[in-house]
Amino acid sequence: MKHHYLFLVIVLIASLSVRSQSLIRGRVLSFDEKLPLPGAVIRVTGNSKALSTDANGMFALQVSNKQVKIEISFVGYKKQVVETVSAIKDTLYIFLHPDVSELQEVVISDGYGKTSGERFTGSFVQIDNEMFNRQVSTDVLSRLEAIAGGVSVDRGTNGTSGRIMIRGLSTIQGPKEVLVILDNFPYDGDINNINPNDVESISVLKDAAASSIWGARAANGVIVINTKKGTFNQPLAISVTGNITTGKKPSLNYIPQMSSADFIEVEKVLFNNGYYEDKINAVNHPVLSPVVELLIRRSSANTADQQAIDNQIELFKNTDIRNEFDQHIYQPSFRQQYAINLTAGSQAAHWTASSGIDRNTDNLDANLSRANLRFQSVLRPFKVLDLTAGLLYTESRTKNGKPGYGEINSAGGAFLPYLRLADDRQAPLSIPKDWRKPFLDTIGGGRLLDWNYYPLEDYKHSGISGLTKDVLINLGASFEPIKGLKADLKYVHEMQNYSARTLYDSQSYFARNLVNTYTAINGDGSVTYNIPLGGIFDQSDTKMSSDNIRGQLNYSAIWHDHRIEALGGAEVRRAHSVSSGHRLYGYNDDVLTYRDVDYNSQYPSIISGAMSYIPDNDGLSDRRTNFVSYFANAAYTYKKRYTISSSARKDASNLFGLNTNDQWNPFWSAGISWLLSEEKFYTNKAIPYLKIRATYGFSGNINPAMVAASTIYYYPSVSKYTGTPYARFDNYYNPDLKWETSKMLNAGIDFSSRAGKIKGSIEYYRKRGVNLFGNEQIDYTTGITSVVKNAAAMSGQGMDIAVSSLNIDRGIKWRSEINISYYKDKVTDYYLGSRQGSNFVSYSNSSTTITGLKGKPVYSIFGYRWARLDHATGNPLGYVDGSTSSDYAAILGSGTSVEDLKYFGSAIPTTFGSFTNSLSYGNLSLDVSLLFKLGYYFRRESINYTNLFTNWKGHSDFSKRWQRPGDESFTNVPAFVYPLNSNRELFYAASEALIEKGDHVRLQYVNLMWTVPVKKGNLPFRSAQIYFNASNLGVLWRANGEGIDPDYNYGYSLVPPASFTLGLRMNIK
Amino acid sequence: MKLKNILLFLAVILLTNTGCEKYLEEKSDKSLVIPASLMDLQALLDNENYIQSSFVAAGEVSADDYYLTDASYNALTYEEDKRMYTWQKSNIFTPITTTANDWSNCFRAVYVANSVIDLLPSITGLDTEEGHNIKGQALLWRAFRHLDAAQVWCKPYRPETAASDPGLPLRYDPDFNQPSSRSSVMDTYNSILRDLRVSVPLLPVIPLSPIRPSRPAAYALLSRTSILMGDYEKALAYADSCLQLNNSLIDYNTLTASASYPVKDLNDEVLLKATTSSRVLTSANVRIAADFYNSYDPGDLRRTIFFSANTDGSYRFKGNYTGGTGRFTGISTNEIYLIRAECLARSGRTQEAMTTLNFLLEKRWNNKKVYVPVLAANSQDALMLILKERRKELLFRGIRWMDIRRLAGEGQNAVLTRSVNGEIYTLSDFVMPIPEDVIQLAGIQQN
Repeated sequence: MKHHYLFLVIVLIASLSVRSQSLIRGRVLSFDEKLPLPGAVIRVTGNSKALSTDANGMFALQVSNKQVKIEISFVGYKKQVVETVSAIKDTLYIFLHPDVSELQEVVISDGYGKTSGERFTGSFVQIDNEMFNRQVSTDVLSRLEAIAGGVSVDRGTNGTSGRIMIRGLSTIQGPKEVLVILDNFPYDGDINNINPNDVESISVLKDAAASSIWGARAANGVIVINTKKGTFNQPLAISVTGNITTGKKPSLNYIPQMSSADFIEVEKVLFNNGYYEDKINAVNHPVLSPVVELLIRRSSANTADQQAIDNQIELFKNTDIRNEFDQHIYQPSFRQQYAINLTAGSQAAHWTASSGIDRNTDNLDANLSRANLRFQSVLRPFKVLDLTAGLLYTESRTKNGKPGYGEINSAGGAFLPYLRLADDRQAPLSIPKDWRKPFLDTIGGGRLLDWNYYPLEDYKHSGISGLTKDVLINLGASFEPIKGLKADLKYVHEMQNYSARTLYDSQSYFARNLVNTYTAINGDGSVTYNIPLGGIFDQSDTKMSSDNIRGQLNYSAIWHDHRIEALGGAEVRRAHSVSSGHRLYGYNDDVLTYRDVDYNSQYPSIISGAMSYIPDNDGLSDRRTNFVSYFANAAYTYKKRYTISSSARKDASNLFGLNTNDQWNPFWSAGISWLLSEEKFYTNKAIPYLKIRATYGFSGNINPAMVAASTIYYYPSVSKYTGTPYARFDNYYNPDLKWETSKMLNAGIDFSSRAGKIKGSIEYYRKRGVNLFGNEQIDYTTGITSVVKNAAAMSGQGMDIAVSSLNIDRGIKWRSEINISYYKDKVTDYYLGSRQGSNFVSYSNSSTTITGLKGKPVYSIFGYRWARLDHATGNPLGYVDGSTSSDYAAILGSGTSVEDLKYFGSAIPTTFGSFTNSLSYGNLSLDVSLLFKLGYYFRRESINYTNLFTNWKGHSDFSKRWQRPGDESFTNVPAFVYPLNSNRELFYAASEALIEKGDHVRLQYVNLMWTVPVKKGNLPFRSAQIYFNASNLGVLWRANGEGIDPDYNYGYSLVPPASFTLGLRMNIK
Repeated sequence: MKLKNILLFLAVILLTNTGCEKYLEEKSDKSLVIPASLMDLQALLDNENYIQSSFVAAGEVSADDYYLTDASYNALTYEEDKRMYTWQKSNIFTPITTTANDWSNCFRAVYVANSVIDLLPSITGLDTEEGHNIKGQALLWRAFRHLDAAQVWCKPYRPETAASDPGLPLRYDPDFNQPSSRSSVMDTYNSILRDLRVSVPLLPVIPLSPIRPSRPAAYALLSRTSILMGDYEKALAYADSCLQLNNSLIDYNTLTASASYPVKDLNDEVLLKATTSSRVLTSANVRIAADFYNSYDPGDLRRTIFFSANTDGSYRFKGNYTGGTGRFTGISTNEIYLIRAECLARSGRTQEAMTTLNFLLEKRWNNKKVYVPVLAANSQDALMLILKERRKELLFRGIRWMDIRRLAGEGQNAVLTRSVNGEIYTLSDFVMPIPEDVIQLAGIQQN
């Protein structure tokens, strides 16, 4: 505050010296961020003379009148008129509201420097704070899909969790993760640590010119997260946000579960055919379903008992385990998020401090709680030196919840559709788990622990908890001895500890089962516990630490029509990760005691008598990645119209086994841009802003797991037989292994209509991935089934179109934003060991095969040709040598080559994007966002009788199966037959009959916001917004007729249920 | 992070040439090493998952000591398993993209052995006892795997045709870029003999554990190889060499017959442990006919140690030399006693043959009952008795399949049949098809 008094004194002196004229001092700041606005134009109404604010947004205006009206205008902000009296002595603070309809200058940060969007030649998406906050989430990245053009989440080839892709694929077998930069450096911790309320803006770098400065890790694209920071000469600003979200229970009807009645009928048929005979007689007593147990009893029961058993079986037919899950397991989810942010700056320092708390309880009662603490400050002891220091601390805890659908299962992951989890009085029931119940009921003669599994009780005794602590410290010094020449030194140290604890207490099934299995009942009736009674405690710790240090020189200069910006430097980076895990038996959590077990002796299983060792759960690992890199970047602009830019980078890493000489890999890029609308000959008034740009460059992709030398991997424990270490081959000698390289060409135009009513960009890109890692299937007589080589190449091309328009601009404002991306990739080179059809199809919806066929997409969907069901048998028919056939071994084997398959298309959407409409009226605004994915295919599941028999996994398609001749005219679902040809099931699963179009449109979110009208002084805050958000609102349109949401077509996946948020944001005075 | 590390790190920043190199040569994963020491090579050979387990199961699956009920057959999940059981001539192995198969398991072990042999010359300590031992182990495993594979994918050894019958693709170089091509049966067996002979002097008499090859195990394998080649003279000599170094036999009276698996893992008879497992040969599937069970005298302890009764009147085998469900495919002294007896009988030394046989059988006899030695009128009679006892002693080890093959030429068990779901299948020859995907990938000749 000291300098404020200083100002006051200056003002007093000034006002004394000038008698007839008064001096008005003021400061212009942005309304939202409270940032000073340098260069804002100040003028007295009716006077042509104007002046502008200085670097701190300050101005001093001499006026003669006592009563004056001052107009303040600034590009991108609404003009404001202030009435004041000349006698005012305090500094006048003027807050300008942003004018979204005006073209805003965009500043892109690539992690090495900031560039104005006007002079940037590369391709990027800039997401500002307002746009980012239209969605509510605990993490940062999940919001991008709906707002960043060219960014999509692949849930088709990568399961439910999805994978963020920027402009599709750049690699075939290599790592596909995008590089995430937090402020200046890659973030090594768990990306979910970052609190979205700390995010100021996000830059998505899409082309080589933008990302090649990140070199060997940039091929999949780069996302730069910029956090909120303070500025010099800024009064204290406090902002507070809070929101609560509740989500509905997921709909279990989405699961195509076979009906219990159908399932039981199948069990009866199998029982009558002796399918269970071997299991019934097996010495290890494998688990059988309750109905099969009843059928066994029935076969030796009298008529009266048989009737009773039949009645029991009928009761099972009325039970649907989905109802049990709905009633006893799933619950509405609940999330809370609170954050506070303080920021202030003086002439010599500025700082920001923030804290956030998240508490989530999901549909299965699993908990996440996260706390963030952040402090960032800049000190300017001398005009030429800035010192920065910051700390980011995250602590998050997770705790497991209840087991979800598919997680309550019997041996081998199987589970039954007709089980009950609780009885009529809500008491937990046991379900069959690993061994036959009649056997467990008698074994041990009461001397063993209860061997039943009660799912509704068990999760309370199997506590899985995780604790992440992440500390990030950054230090920096920036020295600018001459204007334009700046030397930067930056250092970041990050440390993340993750510890996972799984405590199976003595009541848990896991502990009881292991203790029982290794219990011996001696001849005299005494009991020996080879695994001691008590709990089992598994603990693992992973410690990651990373250091980054970077020295960088920046130069910028403007003279006449020339402008140069250049930077160059070197950085060293290392990440070290150590993990360890161990298990304690006989554990008592109350007093922290455990008991030793003998891992080196074999004990008989009480079930089967087979000898085995007590399982340990110990492991150690120690991994390092070291990098040394040099980088440079320069841009030259002439007459503000022509810009050329280029960047280069060289990386070396400790990639195992490579010679140091071979490790240096150069990457470079170059770009040009031309601001056409500034040319004299350009007269198009409708489009006053038009820029053309093009770039070309390289970036790389490395896989730390890829090693060029033959290496062996040591198992963490020793051989039980010899007491010496044992190992296996992990990698095979491959001296030619190189980093993957991605080349990208990008060309685009940026345009804006008058007053920015319509603006946007159209970009075209081509990329070529070369030296891609490809899995080469080889003759396994060599002892190796496949090797990874730089054997593949792919190319991709596409367009990103982003347009925003202000459709209505009156009392009601209507804005639209549309992002459309068109993307297509194809394999241009791939080693194919075999063209047999079976290598190009997949047999389940849980995996998509990398097809590696030249000219076709990396992930292509193929299916066996389908000749309907056989009229007489209901067996599926395919083709061999051009004629219909049911020789499944031939169809799956050499009888089908890839040319004989039906090709559908890409498994990754070829057209995708978002369409957001915003309406605002007065203080109310409404955003509605749609997401679409088009032009792709997926494989759906159907009944697979092999799975039905062996894993109890049915499918509701069973009810549509072929049952009598003629049914083939309306169904493709094969008949239920026994015995079964497993190849028939594989053929059906991989046939064209189960391939669907993936196209769909989804309502991504609806956001309603009310800005509280603030009249000066009547409320304790400067601004406040109350908002309501609804997300996961479901699919509006889909091409498939099966009711499948193609984004959630993976194993037992459920569609995330709709969730609703109520939130508040405010800036306190 | 310790201060020392920070200093080291900062030193690297200075990018001195050596510092940079050291920094870039730090290991990316501590548990990964380029094999460069004898310990590394021994560690590869001690990995039970790759070396001692997953021997070829197809032979035993195709042999006749057991049967599947129709219900068990119908319940088999993989179509390939059904085809193997019914002796089909194609698609009897699952493709490698589905699961590992006998061919891949076999040659994966050969690869490890080849790699060890290939790396040895570059490793210091080659000329030490340990270096010799490791080389001997690798050679023996290569020979053992080749012998194992030859019983399924090569015709039985006949001196007249061995030079022209297609053998195994013999690979000695771990370089996977070398194409595979089939040798002859003669080359295959010569390679096996050569590897084993070279290994004999390199190997210790007593290994650290029976999961590691030893000199007696090498002699035992030479003996087994010779008998499979019809060279009974050499088989006898090798059997004697083996038994001179290790002639342990278990007295079955010391075993607990009521135990689920009375014969223990790594017991005194085991010269070298090896195992196989199969989806077809599970203890629940496999049934042994009552008449085979009844061929064991009530005084023969094997009756209760090897078998337990099923509810349907058939029997189940519980005498695996692994102490569990794993099927033993290694080599043990009881087999060598039987080879010795057989070779003696074949050379007309009836008396000695029967003494050897009785020595073994007495160890199997209930000591509460009087053992009456088995007598033979002549050498042919002796041979028949010995072969019968051989079958009764060496169940579920893959040996029955080898015997079916080698004895077929002598007119025994020439026609094998199986009845499944009312259909009769007949075994026509003793060579199985190489997995079809291997034929496609390697372009080698199918059987």
